[in-house]
Amino acid sequence: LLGKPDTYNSKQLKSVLGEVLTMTLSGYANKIAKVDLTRGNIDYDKPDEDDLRKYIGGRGLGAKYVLDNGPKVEPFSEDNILCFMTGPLVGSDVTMSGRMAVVTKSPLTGTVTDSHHGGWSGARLRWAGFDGLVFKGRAAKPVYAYIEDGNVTLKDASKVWGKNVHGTVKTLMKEHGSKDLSVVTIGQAGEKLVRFAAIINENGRASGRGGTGAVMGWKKLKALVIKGNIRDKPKPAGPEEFKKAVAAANTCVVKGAITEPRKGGLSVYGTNVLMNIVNEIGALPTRNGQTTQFEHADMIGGETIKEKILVGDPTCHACPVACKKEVEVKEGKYKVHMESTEYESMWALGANCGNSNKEAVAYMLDMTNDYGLDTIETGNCISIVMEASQRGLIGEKLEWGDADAMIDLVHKIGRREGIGDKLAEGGWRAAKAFGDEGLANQVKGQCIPAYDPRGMQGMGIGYATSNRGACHLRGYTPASEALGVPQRTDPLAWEGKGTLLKIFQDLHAISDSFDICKFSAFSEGINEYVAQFVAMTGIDIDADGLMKAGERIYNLERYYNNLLGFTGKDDTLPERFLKQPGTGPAAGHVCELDKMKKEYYEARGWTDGVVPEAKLRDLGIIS
Amino acid sequence: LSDVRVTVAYFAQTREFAGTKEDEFVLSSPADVERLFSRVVKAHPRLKEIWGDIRTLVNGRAVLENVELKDGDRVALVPPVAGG
Repeated sequence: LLGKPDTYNSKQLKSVLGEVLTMTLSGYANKIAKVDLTRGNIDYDKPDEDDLRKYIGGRGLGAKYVLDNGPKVEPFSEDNILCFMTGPLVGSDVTMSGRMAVVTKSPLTGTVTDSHHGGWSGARLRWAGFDGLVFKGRAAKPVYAYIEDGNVTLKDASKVWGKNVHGTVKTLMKEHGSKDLSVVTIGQAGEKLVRFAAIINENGRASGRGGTGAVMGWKKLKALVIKGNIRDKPKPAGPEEFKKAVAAANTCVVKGAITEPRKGGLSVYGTNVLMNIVNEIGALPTRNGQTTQFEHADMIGGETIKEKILVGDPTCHACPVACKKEVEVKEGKYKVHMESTEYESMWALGANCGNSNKEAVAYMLDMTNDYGLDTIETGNCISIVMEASQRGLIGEKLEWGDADAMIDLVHKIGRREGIGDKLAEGGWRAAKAFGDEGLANQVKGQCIPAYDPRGMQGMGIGYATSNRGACHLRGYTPASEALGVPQRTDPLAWEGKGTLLKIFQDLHAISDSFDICKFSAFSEGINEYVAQFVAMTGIDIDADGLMKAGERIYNLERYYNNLLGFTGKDDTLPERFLKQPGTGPAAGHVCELDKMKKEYYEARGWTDGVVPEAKLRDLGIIS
Repeated sequence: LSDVRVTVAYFAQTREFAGTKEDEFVLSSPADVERLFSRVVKAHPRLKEIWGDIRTLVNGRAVLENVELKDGDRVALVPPVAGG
């Protein structure tokens, strides 16, 4: 993952890249739009160069803006800001560089959150001339933002307010033409302030986690309509060096065992190739985490999807991997044509709910995209109702695997109807309302994705210490624990996982700030990241410096949470994972959180989950 | 000495190359992973194309070297994959 440490030290870089390092920053649009929705004012600012050097862009720069805005704002308030960020590599020739980061204070967790989506909207926002858009205030009437040629215009959204995602995309595409256009929008869930509402790009790519869509809904900002053409892609500081660096990184991807187009597992089966494998090692949370293996995993796994309902392999900007898996159910009550059956989503509404009907899961995933809901939290809310029903805690009867009843619940959540109104508050708040907080497999108010910390110890410390609540994407230890990338570790062993997690967290903070797809790390390492970043921006930095930037970003997010009172006591897991052993290969194992936490805090230099002042100074977060 | 019955599960590309989800092999005792592998490759020669990349799980636990197999064991053959 970190490659050979001396491959790209600063001296070598300078000899390779020559005068590139002496130039001013390239790659950036040098333009941020600051939109006051209350007043309808739009100001255009240049991002501070010191901020770019320290926090890169994307997630890092967005988190810096959220911190500077002050932590003690209410998520649903005019003071909270909602940032749509690109990064210095977005929209370029860099492989997998089509991402957009949405950063805000989360209404689900009360922490800083960032949530990313693929497709082309990130690239188009950069091509339209922006490093980011920062929205503050609240519009008196619903609006959408039209972005083109370095300008943002607020337009009346009354004709799409009340519509779900697919209807909104269709209407706005009809009005503005589909050429070079991306529509990034919320559905009814965002409008109705479902605390885990997502922002959906191009019908099926979600900024899913943390409730960014609810913040957008509260601000009465229905959509972004972005027009941008690749002819306006960012210009690198060193064009020849950049070309070489991109070619070298792309070679890693196209020859990588995992990412090789049409041969690697990720390309052929998509992310859902994990279903059977994670199940095999006993780390698939099943029926709300009551067990760690699902007897019908194969029926919803990537192999079966490919054999039975796969119809296409869509991709994102500059990505030869094409991990999206488009499916079609041609007839019956679950008739649907959608992209994409991702692993986390197939788990959330599949194994997690005891549901083995792949057609019904695909149908529900399209529903969640249409309402604009986070599939992971939605699945957890449903499994919480199922377990509450099983234990007689609620009057409603809902059997495990009852797909039709699940569909009914998705509608109710999206519309905040009946029991759906409680569930719309998120799994943790719903579980408390049902009388047992322990029903929710959550951290800091956000429910878990598709890895059980009893069968995969590193994911346990990853969930617990994530700055945005339970999350697999802060530090993707399953790469090592389940897949052997970059090196194999025993998923049931706790030793070394705290240190391993820190490396993953810092590395992902870099890719999220570039903003390129994390899947690049399955084939590339820090050396490829450094070479492309330096050649694009002209920033004089080596591998250690870039990893320090990742560390700085992670610590800045933690500092924000610390200012709100989050400490080590919040870096914990539900009792189920700490006291009730897993099943199958994880039988007899609980998550050894305390041991890993001690190792992790030592690696981080934190005191009981708090970043010491000296560390903040050392990283340049405070002066 | 009794026979050792082992189930072999194939995932992702190993499933495509083997043309089946699962097999059962009966080995004479004492049985081990290497003897099983020679039977698997004989039954599914296409697996040779990716054999160097395949990881082995015995009853859900990764094994890095030859280990003895017991009656009823389940062996999974996993190619390089990732997701998230």
